[in-house]
Amino acid sequence: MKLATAFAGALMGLGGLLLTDTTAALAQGQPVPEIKLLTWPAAKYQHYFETSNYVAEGWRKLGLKVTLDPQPFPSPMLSKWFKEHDFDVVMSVLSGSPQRSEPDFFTNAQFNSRNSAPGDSNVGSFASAKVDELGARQLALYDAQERRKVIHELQRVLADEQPEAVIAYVVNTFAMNTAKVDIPGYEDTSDGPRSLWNMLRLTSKSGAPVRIGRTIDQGTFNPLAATIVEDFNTLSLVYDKLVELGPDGSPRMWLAQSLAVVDPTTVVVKLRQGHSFSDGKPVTADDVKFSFDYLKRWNAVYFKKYLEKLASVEIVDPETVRFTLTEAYAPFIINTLGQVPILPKHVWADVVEKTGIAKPQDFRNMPLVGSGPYVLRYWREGQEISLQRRADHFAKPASDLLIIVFGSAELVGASLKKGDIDVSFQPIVPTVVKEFAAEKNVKLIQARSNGHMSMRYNTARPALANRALRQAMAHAIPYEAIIDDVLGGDAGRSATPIVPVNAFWHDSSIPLPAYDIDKAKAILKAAGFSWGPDGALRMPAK
Amino acid sequence: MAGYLLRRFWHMVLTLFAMATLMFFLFRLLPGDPTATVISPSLYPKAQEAMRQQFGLDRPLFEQYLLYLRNLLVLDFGFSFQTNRPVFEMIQGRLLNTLLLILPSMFAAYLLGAVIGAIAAWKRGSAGEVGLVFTATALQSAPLFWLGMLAILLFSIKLDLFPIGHIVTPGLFPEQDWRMYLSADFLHHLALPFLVNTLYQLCFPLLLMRSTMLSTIGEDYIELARMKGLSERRVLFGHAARNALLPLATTLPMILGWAVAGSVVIETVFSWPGLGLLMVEAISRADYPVAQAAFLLIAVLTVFGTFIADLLCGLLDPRIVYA
Repeated sequence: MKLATAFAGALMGLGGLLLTDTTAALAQGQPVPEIKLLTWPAAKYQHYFETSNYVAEGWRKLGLKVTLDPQPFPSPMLSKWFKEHDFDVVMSVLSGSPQRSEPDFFTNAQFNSRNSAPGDSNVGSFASAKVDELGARQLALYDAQERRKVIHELQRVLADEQPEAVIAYVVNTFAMNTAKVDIPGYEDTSDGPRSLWNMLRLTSKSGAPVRIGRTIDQGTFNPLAATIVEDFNTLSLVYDKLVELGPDGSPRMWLAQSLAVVDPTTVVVKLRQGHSFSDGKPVTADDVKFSFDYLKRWNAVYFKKYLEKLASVEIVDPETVRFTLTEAYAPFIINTLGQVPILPKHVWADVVEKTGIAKPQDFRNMPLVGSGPYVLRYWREGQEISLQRRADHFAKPASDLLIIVFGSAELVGASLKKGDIDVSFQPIVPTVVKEFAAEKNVKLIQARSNGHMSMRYNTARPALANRALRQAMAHAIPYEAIIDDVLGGDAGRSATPIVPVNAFWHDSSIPLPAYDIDKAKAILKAAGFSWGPDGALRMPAK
Repeated sequence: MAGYLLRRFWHMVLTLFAMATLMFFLFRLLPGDPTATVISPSLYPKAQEAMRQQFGLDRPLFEQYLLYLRNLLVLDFGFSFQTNRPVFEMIQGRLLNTLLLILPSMFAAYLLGAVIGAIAAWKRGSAGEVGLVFTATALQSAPLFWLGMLAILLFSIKLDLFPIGHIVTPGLFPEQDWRMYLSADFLHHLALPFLVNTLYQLCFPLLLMRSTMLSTIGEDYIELARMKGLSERRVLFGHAARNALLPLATTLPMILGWAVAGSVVIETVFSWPGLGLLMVEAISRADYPVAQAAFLLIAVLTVFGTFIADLLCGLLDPRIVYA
């Protein structure tokens, strides 16, 4: 019986073979063109390069021809990536930063078809009416709960459309000396101890300032001149903003006591009462209006993007400000209100005339007057930044801080072990994490980044415009092997570009695509793809 | 002599002009765009444009170059892209820190190098001399950062004799003035980088002194000094070493610029906030004006040092005539 079935099966198989052979010439499509994968140079960005290598290896199992195209970073890689779009697939690494928790950034901004111009974010020229529609809808929803529903739906659509295959987010390891400091009520944020919420909680056990080690020196304490995220992190300690980005990615009231959205283009902010700048003068609606107007008027480059949709700021009364936007734009809350520092008008208003500088960007801004939780005592360039906590600040900072700049990350680690510093703001290199774990007073703090690495498809290429192909490719990436072998286990997976640490916005119900070549092949087959006699993947017949 | 000085001066100006030009174009050939440090991953086009305008990078390259040369003439190094502060002001304080570390250690290296080199030549062939030459050659070929790291590992971490780095104990000197330079804490921080740098810089004058001494020892006047019945010491330091000093004295000013450039490594290893550390930061952030000015400063030091060396040559050796 068994033998008979097997025989019949063989006959059928043979028949099938004959059948496919005769129809092949008629029904088979063109071979899928070779895929050029723009990636990072192996010498300097070894783990990025190696990740793309693993991915290419997986895709080849589907019968795809994949070649790696490593380019020197930053140039010309960045221009091939963002300006010329000279790639079929690009190994995209969008690093984490607090402001990227604004949910628009990793979804609509990246994939709305309106953002496909050279230099804009939609580098793969992805176009989907559904994404565009949801993207536009969430932009007009100021209510975080309402908006979250749309953002979740947007993530589900993106997971299905696969304009990019999300590979992993990295986990950074920081360390602190528990004999000297503590962070009571530690918030699990993408920035670990560097997050404002944890810095405020950093508590010295001896009462001496908490000693923080890092390798990056402050570039400037002038908010108009600052351009890099590290500079703004320190500026957040000395200047307040109206809104602060919460540890979970949702907006929290800060200098604003409440916020009312009157209509989609009008936001009214009521200020917190009784707060003052470090020189004792009260923070008023006048200072708020001044700050927004001033940054806009003087073209503060970093804020240019965030002030674009702001039409005007009006003072309603000494504690109320009305913002009028050019169009409904929900990210205004986190991106603009959450980033613009409130400057003391009495310091800045006449700074150009008084000091004879050409523009406020050239102002040294010392001694610094701000309303933030810390007062800048002194900054010795290339060496240290001393910050004194303001006991009368509503955020109740726990301890004074001393930020110490080191020449290299190895020395930050060595100083921590020796007890010269209390906290390392420098991620510890994965290879020495074990060594640190063995130290008696050292506590390791793991922080999941809110950025991620992914494979971005150029959907302007006919083959990659095919959704089934992209879906199949998502199942041909050896995720676990990449995380374990290449990233040393210090990484995690996410099904969507809004990664799990961005807890308020992340949709955790979306299943992770599994590494499953058979499933990938089944998807391709169902979509009409076939394989040539050489095993090369062929497009569906027209 | 005056004619020579004038000619030499023109050569210096020409060399520096060539250096400044080279530097200007070299930095603009480097990959990386100063506006790329604006953190948006997509290099937000409008912010980029605004930055370009602000820095004058939107103008034709040649126009930028002429402006740069004109500003150099009046010692205006422009503003840093990163901090918007005058470059001159940024470099000043850093240069002082570098010189405080480099000058004493170069001086010590040359002094010790001359003495040890002279003795080594005198004791040529002994086991001690062979060992010394071997050690000096090995030290000279060892990477400086490696020596520094080893020193930190041994003296700072294992033995806990010196701090891991920095110029003073962080937090100890809230006053922003010169007082920290006069403290024992400063000397304590200076000690290890000073020792490592001295040890490293010592090898060149030592080996140079030794080889010049070897040719001096064979001269007739040494024989004569011996025949006069002078003590070995007198012959060694009074006659042989004195005549062997010439190449050493003339290389010192020349090598100074090179030593300042070498501060990049020692300062990075010891978190020493000098010119070298500033240069590393400036390059990694594509801060052209700061990097250019720092390199130009090193060029000036080298060119000027060579000039001094030429003059010194004639001063020390009356046989040299300037024509």
